[in-house]
Amino acid sequence: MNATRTLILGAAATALLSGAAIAEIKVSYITPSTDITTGPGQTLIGVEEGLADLDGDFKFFSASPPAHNDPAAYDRILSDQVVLAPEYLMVTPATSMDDIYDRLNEAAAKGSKLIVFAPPIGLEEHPIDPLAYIIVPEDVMGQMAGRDIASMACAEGRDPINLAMFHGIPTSEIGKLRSAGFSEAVAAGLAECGITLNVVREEFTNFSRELAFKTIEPVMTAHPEINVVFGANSNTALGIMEGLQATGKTPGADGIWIAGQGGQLDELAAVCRGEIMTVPFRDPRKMSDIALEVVRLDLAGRTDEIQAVYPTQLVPITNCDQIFETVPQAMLESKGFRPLIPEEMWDSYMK
Amino acid sequence: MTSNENAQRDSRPTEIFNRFRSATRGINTVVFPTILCVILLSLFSDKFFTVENQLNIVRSASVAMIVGVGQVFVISARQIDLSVGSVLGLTACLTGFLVFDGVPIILCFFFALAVGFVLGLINGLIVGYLKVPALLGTLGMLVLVRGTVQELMYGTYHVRFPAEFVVLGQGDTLGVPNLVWVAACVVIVGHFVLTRLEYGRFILAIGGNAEAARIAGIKVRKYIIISFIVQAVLVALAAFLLMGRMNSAHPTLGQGLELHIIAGVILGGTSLFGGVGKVWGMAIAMYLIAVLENGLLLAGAGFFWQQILLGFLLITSVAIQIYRSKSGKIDM
Amino acid sequence: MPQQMTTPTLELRNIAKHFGAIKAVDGVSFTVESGECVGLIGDNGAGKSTLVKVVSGFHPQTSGQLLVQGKEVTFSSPTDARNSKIETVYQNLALVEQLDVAANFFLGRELHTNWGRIIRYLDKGAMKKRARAELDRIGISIPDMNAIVSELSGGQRQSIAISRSIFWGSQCLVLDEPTASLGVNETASVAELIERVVASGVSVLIVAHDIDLIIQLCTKIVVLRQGIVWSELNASDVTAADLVHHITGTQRAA
Ligand SMILES: Nc1ncnc2c1ncn2[C@@H]1O[C@H](COP(=O)(O)OP(=O)(O)O)[C@@H](O)[C@H]1O
Ligand SMILES: [Mg+2]
Repeated sequence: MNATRTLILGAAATALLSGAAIAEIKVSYITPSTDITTGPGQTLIGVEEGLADLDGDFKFFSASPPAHNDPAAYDRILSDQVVLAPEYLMVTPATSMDDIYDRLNEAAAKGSKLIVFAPPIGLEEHPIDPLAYIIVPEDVMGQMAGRDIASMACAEGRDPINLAMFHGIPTSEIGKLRSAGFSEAVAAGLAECGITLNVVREEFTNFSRELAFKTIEPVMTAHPEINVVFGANSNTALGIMEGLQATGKTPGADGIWIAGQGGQLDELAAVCRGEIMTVPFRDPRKMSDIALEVVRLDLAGRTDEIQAVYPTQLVPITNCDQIFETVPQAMLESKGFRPLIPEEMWDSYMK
Repeated sequence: MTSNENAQRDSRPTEIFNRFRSATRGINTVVFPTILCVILLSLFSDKFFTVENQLNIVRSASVAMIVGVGQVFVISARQIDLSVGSVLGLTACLTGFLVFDGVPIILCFFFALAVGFVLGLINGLIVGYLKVPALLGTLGMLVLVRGTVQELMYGTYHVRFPAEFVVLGQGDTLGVPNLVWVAACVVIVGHFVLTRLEYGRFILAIGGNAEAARIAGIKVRKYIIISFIVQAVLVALAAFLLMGRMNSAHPTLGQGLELHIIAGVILGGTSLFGGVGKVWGMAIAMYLIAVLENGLLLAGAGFFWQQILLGFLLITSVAIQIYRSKSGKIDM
Repeated sequence: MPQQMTTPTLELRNIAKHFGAIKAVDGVSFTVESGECVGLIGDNGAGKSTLVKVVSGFHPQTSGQLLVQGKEVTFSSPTDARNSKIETVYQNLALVEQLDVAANFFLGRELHTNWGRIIRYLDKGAMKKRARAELDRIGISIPDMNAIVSELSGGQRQSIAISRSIFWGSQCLVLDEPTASLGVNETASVAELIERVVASGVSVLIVAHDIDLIIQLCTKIVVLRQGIVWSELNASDVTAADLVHHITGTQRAA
């Protein structure tokens, strides 16, 4: 009897407290992964930390499905967001924007303002109206890597180029854009100096390091002539690299060239070690800064100053010097990078 | 202190415990953590215990409830079906083609059920005739069917179905989501079939003692095959609704679903060793899982807490079930 | 030709059952008269279980004939045997422990309500009532008819299995080790139940290791040895010690 009363009192007190905190602003960020080694994971941390520094009383919510490409679980999480109705709902789609636009519209109808970390593909078909799209020009990222590989081949006279493509999740727009950008740029670049391009193998390894690791060995056994491998994201490139090393092959300038995408810290370290040849770098912290800027402008009533689409700038990275010039020192200091390069190398750059 | 006093003292906790046990006899074990979680989570968010959110939770749970009814039958018969997630994905993607070809929705519906029927029959034949243990046979089907749907779609997916199709998964009737209506019907009918009809009785007998069932003249193989078919047809029904709910059909749809389903079925009191099936318990357990997913999120806790708590609940509930069944009867 | 008094309930003529090269049962003949209790004994591997399985329709025999009430029958399933009113009670296989007494009593022969025949709706009330009545009639006390079988004692379970067979109108009851794993008191009460069954005119074929029990209950004893009938004895003529000699092969009477 007594226990029940305490419970009811407790519930009432909580209700009062949450009623009192009426000025609280709810911000949610829903990602396919909260793993801090991934881009979305780093952006998530950026948003959470940035909110703490922003003026206002913010309550931050984040969630991601247990399996990273499970569209049904992602859908359930978004249903919960519709109930929560945060003032700002930020999303990085798990599989495709197509899978979530119904839920995003329901959230918008409940008053949530949307910030979408994805390109406005098929905008005319998607009747969603976010505050902003924060995009990585994924096709440009693919093209940058493609151009780098082509110019290396032309300079060295590596002919023919026997290419294996390790694509992302089959239905991912990001993956498709990167792969297409790379294919197109490498073909054009090689044609200029008359080098033959053979695409000997294409695989979908779902942006998974493990799957790329497992797949590269049989691919190399079937096609020992392969001398360039494209990985559709950082983890794919790293999986390829580790897979090659595990089977006694050498990735790098004198061996098999790997082209990566995205520039996760451990992937950048691999560039410093000379094991991955090219990685267009997108700074996940820049993306979270943009998202926070959008929130700040909107709260300040300056909504008209918000751009519809914010592209994040990409930096081409093919050697370690560029990394130390571009990437914030704090990120390099972290355990995602510094322990992964030789001590002497670190010291030489710090001088 | 007399020895009498001593004895009294020793027996007091046991007596209290026994009284608790006899008072709760007949109540499914899953009810207690569910009530506890609902009370606790409603303290953390004022949104949690609203009608809107409760309907949202039940809607989230409804797909798992529909699939779970089939799994209760399968597990009661001392089998298991790991292929549910893959069957869900393949049924949704195949049906998607028909929807876009402009086939009337009612025909698409029966097509989906037919796909489920065929896949369930294959599962049943693998287990019943090839004598492959269900754990391995349906594991093989999990991989095989997932591969099939990935190859079939090869990087594509269905999206933006016609409005009249989407209404099934997204619309409401009398203020309650259509998905919830369907799940409620399936659960009620499933409970009725398991406890009142000969089919349910046979399933329990087969799961409890297949040899005794066979001696009693029950066609064991036939009923095992039927239970796999029932499971897959219910998965197909769920696929049909989920397509509308999400307004898309992906080749990855349903990945990992089998673990969610089996966790809910076992949490609900169905015995993994066969012979005991609890449809209502399963429905409550699916609600509990959805409550954890939703409530922790509303409370601002990370999604991983749901998995931590779910794993913990699963272990304790099975332990409690085993304990209760030792000296009392297994609850109903 | 002398006129036979009655037709035997069960007659085995030269029954053989071979598993490849293994001659588990190799030409066995004997009869079980109406209202007679026949004990089947023999060493391990003598072929007792195999013979029981032939009689109960589990294995078709390799050769030989089975006659029930003088008519030749061929069984392709346990259901066939049951349709010929031969019921077999297996030691551990008889009951589903997770189900209650009435459910077990009617297993495979469920009653349905009139309106529910098409959907096979169980008439639980009627089944419970009739099971209770039958148990009362035979004198078996089961305090709680809602109890599931795993809560009952071994003797209660065996009694339920036997009375179920009687209830279904068995003319010939085959019992495979009915008292194995039972305590002394339970064995006594099951033995008493079997005596009542025999007295009611049902023929009984018992396989048991408990020689005293066989001598107590049966009128005829068949000793199997290496798949053949080694001895056929009158229970009133032998002692337990004699039987041991027959079982081990140091004595024979065929
Ligand atoms: N299904 C079977 N397949 C092959 N051999 C069998 C089979 N069943 C019984 N046997 C063999 O037949 C013989 C008689 O066995 P059984 O009838 O079990 O003897 P009992 O019950 O008298 O101990 C044994 O040698 C046994 O190994
Ligand atoms: Mg034996």
